[in-house]
Amino acid sequence: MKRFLAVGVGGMLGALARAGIFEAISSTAGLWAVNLFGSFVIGYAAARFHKKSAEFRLFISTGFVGSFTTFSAFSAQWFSLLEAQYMAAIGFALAMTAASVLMAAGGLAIGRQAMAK
Amino acid sequence: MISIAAGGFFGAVARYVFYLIAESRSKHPKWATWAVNSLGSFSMGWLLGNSSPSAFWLTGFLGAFTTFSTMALDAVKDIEDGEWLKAAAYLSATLISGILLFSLGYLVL
Repeated sequence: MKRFLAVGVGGMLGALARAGIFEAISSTAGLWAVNLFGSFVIGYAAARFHKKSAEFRLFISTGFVGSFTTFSAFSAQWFSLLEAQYMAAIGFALAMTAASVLMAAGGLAIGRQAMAK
Repeated sequence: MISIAAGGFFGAVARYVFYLIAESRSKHPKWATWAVNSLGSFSMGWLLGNSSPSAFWLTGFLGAFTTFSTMALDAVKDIEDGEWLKAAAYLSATLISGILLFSLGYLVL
């Protein structure tokens, strides 16, 4: 029960933070911001917090960051780009995916460095 | 605001339930992320194509149910294990089924 609550409260805060960023800087730029920043954080958390309690990790990674980043809005933006410019749409999808993977790798590396200190 | 919070709560919990099922039944739990992203993209397409959906479902529930960061980290783990092809297949499968299912939901159903 505690674990479900940890995921749920994290998810609630992640969704609110995402909505706030979309509101503040537009949903197009906002999607880049949340997915890239969130991917960095999940990598960092995987390295840095692996000794913390399961509830804490669920709160941060599965709850907050899992909900903060989003795939459904990504599919929606990709789809509307496909209707306009085919190549740009494919470029958009590949670029966001590659950038997120790089950010997760970077977060993991920096988290490990922080742990080693 | 309250509807986004409530949707985010339930969307994240629903995703966690998929992880729990995948971890207990499958040798490859990361495909749970593929499943939520595919299902979430389909639902997003269907909602946007067929109604004027509420913030509860769009920004809250589906936004939280689907995830980009977990997908990215899963791919990084494969790459660190030297499984480049696996990572590429996993990412391609997620992108392709996401866009196809979104289109299906939006255009066809």
